[in-house]
Amino acid sequence: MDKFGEILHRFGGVNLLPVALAAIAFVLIGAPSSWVTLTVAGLAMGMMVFLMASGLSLVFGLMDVLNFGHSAFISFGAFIAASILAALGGWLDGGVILASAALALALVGAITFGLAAGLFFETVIIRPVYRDHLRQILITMGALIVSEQVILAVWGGTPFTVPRPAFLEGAWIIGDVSIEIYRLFAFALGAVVFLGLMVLLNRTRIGLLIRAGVENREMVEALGFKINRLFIGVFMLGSALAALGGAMWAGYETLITPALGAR
Amino acid sequence: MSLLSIRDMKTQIGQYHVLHGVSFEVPEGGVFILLGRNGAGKTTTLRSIMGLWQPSPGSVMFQGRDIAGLATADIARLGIAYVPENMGIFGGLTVEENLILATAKGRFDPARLRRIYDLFPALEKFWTKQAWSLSGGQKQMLSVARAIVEPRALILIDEPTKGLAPSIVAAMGEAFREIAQTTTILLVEQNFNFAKSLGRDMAVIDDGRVVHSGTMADFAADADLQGALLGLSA
Repeated sequence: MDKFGEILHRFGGVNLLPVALAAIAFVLIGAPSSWVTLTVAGLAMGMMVFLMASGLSLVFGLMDVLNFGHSAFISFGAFIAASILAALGGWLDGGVILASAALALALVGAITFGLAAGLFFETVIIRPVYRDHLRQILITMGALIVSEQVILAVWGGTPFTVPRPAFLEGAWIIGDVSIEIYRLFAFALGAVVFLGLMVLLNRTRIGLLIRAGVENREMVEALGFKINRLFIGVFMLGSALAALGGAMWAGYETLITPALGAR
Repeated sequence: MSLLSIRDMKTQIGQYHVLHGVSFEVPEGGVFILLGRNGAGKTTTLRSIMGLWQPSPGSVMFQGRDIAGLATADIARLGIAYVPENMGIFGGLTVEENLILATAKGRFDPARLRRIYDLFPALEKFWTKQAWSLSGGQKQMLSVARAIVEPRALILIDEPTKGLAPSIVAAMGEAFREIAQTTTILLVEQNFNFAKSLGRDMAVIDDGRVVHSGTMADFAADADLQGALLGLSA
């Protein structure tokens, strides 16, 4: 069994799961063109969910914090990106360069908000309730409710239309296969973030500290590292990833409401 | 001057008062042994020195500086390493990663690494293996190696022989003797024979207080005192 586990690990371990699922789906779907279309769509959706959930996983894994308010970062990221895109509406139809600049600004805006909100959230809301799961649930649920009300107050309850850059509209048709361009973009961005996180966690000293901190926070401190600073950094990173995921999800749905994150 | 001087250290964990005023001095060089029955407060003493539990009144002077109340990371940076009872290794990290994390600048001093390989050859053999796959003895070696991968003035070691095979205990004893040539070791140990073979100075802790301190040679020669303080029969 150990040998089987070692072989499985060598060939990618848990990363093989999507490949196996895709293979099973290929058999079940039958038609290759439908399979490609659905697989790309599923991967894109999965990548957006990955962006939103990876922060939650990092924060729970390293800090043992149950952050029910994580979805607030997703909602804010979506609304901030959507507002920037709406404000730069003229750029979206002004050629690829201007539209790309608008999109980049929207994503950077969402990420910046996520970093700042993460810093605020960790220092003001989470820090007093470390090691107390019940209070974490209560206070982060409260923060989520307050966040939704803030979104309602700022953006109103009417569904907000998210404009998309023209170059991300439509689909590529290759034979019988139809691939939506926005989904491809979402997949590519998710893949870049995934690779970035892999490099950060597996090839840098910070990543080594995060992995060690997940296992034994006390020992990391005893080795001379201030784990609180690491916690703040990880929380900010997690919040920024959630906001980025929210921004991407907003572009995917094109009509968003304050309950987007909670949903 | 002592390397470490503890005066009237009291530690409370939750509602329990565990240390009621611990005082002892650890001279520079060699192995200082802290003995005591189960639950006497030995581990709490080490954890309090390391700042993992904050001692209230009293002082913990290290190299002439009061370190009581400092954060654990700051205490570690002053040159104190800690080898906990549960070894505290990071199982998901490789042997190399466990050790590199303990270096100050993220790279090894070749001479120190050679010394670690010489003391614990198994670590070189399993260099790229994840630490969870090591045996209990190898994990203990890794934990001790992590404490000496950088120069330290003092290493706090908590019951390193617990659950280890006699051959590994003997190897560990040899390693401690070698390490103690350059670094002071404060060793908590229940295995009296092991402690006796290593220690120069010692203290006995009971019910959160130091009830005896002196040289190991004198204590080892006094069977009545051992019986009274540790429950050892002649």
